[in-house]
Amino acid sequence: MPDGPAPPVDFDELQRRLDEVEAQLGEAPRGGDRRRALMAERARALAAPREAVSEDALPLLVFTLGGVSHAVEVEAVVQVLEARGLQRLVATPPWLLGALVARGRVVPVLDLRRRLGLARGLGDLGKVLVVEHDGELVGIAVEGLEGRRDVARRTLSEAASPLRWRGADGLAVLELSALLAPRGLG
Amino acid sequence: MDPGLLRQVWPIFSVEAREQLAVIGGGLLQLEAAPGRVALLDPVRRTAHSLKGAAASLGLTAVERLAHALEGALAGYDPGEGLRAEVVLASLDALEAIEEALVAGDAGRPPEVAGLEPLLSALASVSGVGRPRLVGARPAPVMPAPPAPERTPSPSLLEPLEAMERDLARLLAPADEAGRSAARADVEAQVERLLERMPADVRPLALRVAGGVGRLGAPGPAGARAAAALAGDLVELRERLESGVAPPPEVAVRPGPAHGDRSLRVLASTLDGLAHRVEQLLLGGARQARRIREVGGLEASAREAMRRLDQALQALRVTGADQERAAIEAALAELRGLASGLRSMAREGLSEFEQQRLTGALLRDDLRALRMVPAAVMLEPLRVAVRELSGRLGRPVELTLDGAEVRIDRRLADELRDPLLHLVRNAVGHGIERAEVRAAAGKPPAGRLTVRVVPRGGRVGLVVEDDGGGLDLAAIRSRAAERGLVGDEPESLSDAALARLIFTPGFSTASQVTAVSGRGVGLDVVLEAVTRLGGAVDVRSEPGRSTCFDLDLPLTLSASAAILVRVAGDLAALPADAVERVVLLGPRDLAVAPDGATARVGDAVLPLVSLAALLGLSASPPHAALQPALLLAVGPRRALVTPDEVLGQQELVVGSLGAVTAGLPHLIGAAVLDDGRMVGLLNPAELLRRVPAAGRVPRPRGPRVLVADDAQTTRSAMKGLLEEAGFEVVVAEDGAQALRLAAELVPAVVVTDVEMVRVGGLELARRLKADPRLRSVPVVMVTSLESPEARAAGLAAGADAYLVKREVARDELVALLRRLAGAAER
Repeated sequence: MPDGPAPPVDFDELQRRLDEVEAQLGEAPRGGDRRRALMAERARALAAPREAVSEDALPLLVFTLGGVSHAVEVEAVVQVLEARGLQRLVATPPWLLGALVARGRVVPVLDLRRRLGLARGLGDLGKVLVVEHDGELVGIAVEGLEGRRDVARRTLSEAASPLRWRGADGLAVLELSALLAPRGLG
Repeated sequence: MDPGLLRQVWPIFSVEAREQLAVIGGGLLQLEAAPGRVALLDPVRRTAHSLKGAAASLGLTAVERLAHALEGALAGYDPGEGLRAEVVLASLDALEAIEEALVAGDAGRPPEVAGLEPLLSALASVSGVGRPRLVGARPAPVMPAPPAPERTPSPSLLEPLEAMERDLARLLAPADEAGRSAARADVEAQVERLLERMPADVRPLALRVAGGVGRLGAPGPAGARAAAALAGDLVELRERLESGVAPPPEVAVRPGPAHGDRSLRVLASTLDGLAHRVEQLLLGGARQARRIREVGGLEASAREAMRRLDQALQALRVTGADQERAAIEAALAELRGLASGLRSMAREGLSEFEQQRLTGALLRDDLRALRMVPAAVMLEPLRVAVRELSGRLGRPVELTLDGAEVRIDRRLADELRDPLLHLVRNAVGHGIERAEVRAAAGKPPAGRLTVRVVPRGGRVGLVVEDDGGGLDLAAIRSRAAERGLVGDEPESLSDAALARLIFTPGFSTASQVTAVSGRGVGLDVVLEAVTRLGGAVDVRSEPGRSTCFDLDLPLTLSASAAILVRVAGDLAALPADAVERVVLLGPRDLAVAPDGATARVGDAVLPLVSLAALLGLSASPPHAALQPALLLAVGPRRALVTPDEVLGQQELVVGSLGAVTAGLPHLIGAAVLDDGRMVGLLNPAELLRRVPAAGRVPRPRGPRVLVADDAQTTRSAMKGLLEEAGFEVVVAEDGAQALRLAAELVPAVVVTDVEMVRVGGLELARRLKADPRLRSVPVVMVTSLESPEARAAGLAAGADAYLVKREVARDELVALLRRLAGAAER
């Protein structure tokens, strides 16, 4: 390949081959995929903007981590997956649990408990929130999903990084940019 | 322009404009070097003109004015006199300012040009004196020969063109949908008139314009892109009509890269998307193959059932139970039909799969070719940088670019642009000496700087070499000693090892960091970029004579063959292009030198290290007489690395794990295997960097802990936590597997969940305590069951400790395990 000009690309041919392969593959839904599709759908439903939301309300996705309620802004969440699809990678630090495939991409999955200063709790991490940050997908493993909650902005107070806000009831809203910064995880 | 629309069109404009800048910059410098080659001027001017048009269509007035002034400055070109230095300098300044505006735009800021007026007046002062020019005015004919048929475009030709331009501007201006579709209708009407009147030689271009008009109605970004492309084409068309000079066909299509290759612009994200889809297709294919094999398995078991039925039938024949026999025979016939049906299904499935695999493989090859771009896109911008810097420093430099035609991965070209720029600036700013120093050393006055792209099989080398003073090893040595990088005996370090220290983060000798070579950014950035791409950097220096940086990189990043291995119980992959060979080492090949293990391969004696040790994992000792080893080679570095097991080779499409893993240099990315398992791809360059001079990697082995839990995340979290605390961790998915592993390995402690499928934690504890060999192994239950009854049941089953997952503190768990493991060892 290094020498000579590359052969011209025949896009029609490319398209034809893609169609061919796709047709050969056919529709073959499998259990895992169906479940994943279901989850994805549910996540979308959770993330769907509601019709009559007042300007003041901030839609949050609330989950449990270290036995405590935490939240991220619904806007950042791309998908919620079962943690079962997760696979370990070789020689990773404790905060990198492994990776799973979401949207055809390999997505790293993080255990943020220590980063959040949660010394207690080794509960099973049953779900993975796939969030989009800086154009990249990152998975955050959580113990469980509590659901969507619209919180009035004025009830939130600024919190120290890596938290963004605290709710009146103590709900900790994560600041993803601080948590997912390269080298911010060790 | 509507900001939303601008944002949609921006990526395309930005890519195009950068290429145009490269063409203009490269052309100017070549013109300067070879004044006679007037043919070089035309593409430069045409490109500046197109840039002007594209900028104008987006309402980027500052860029438009600069491009216009550039054109003006070039109009004064006199082939006899050549390009004057001040023209080149003013032009390069303008190009740099436009580049900065593009950078701002890429970052989402308004693409403004700082210090526009001084730039404009500098260009104006060097352009043809007192020649009044208007925007869009016909450029003066450049050269007397070839005798261009001066064609004054008739008004009938220009009129529809101008009407179209106006309509297009309306289309691009923010308006409601009704306004847009009206404008679109007008444009479509005009294009008919335009086509009728076009002279034959511009007809292809006009047809393309018509095609672009057809695409205007496309929804969303596609429509906006079509409008932007159309605007560019119109500018070109106008110029062609006005100048009447028919350029050579290659260039006529589009002002592409200088080497004249026809190129097609595809957004990198589109390409990535395609690659992902192909990956999934291939993965689907592999799953299908497995399912086919399963059908084959079903068929085999059907046959086995039939065989047994047959035997039973034989037996019945003797006893003579006729009625039952007839029933069984009927069932048997049916089963036989089923089995043969299954077999032909499996056979057809297999051949279909083969065909699909072939199609997929072809597709992947096509895609890979698509990802490749000529190295010129990375090399050409260097001309401008070197010219600018050498001009500023008054240090003449002769730049040679080699291997511009070598094709490399597009991402490689993108990500290496800055590191390369850094190395080149470094060479001009610090490598090459001042003129009087050179004269004293008997060197030619102009410094020689060579940037070569060298194909090396599956890898590609990038060599930046200057004939300057070389690295100041004495300064590096003292700086290294200051920073405690060289241990007690700085004198013992070889020159080569010393030179490599300049890649250490934050390392700089006073003479190395100035505004010139990157505003305080050191060579560690180069190292990081190269490492991220799975490559390696090396530097050689000959005092007083030369410095040579050698970047060794994989040719393509999209898909490549990988060697699969098992290490410390985990799966890992290594790029096959860095594995020179896989060897089997027998006891006679091994040697232990005073400074670590080595082994002989052929004539070479190489350091020998276990892969687990390089990754900071605990290695299991080799159990076979012959030990498999991978001979890793990146650039000049080679070493033998032993995994636990070599599993085979597979083509992988590797995905990046993104910025969060930037602190893990040993991982290039991850990929999904044929069977759906995921594997991390190791960075061979980083592994080799970790190999000590002769293979010794000290790693005290901690006590072994067996962790049994059926939740993958908990196993992973626990393994990470305990490994970090110094334990060697073995994991099991359930009690049954834990029992097998415990019997085989005899761990220092067992940590187990209570509720697991098959053998649960309680039974596991009971069976461990019942085994005389394993009785003394402490068992710690970590579970989500909190009730006092559950706790009592756990302790009754023999658990030495019972912890609740929700409330256990990690530090306490680690301390407890240390205590238990210590007690067990005594």
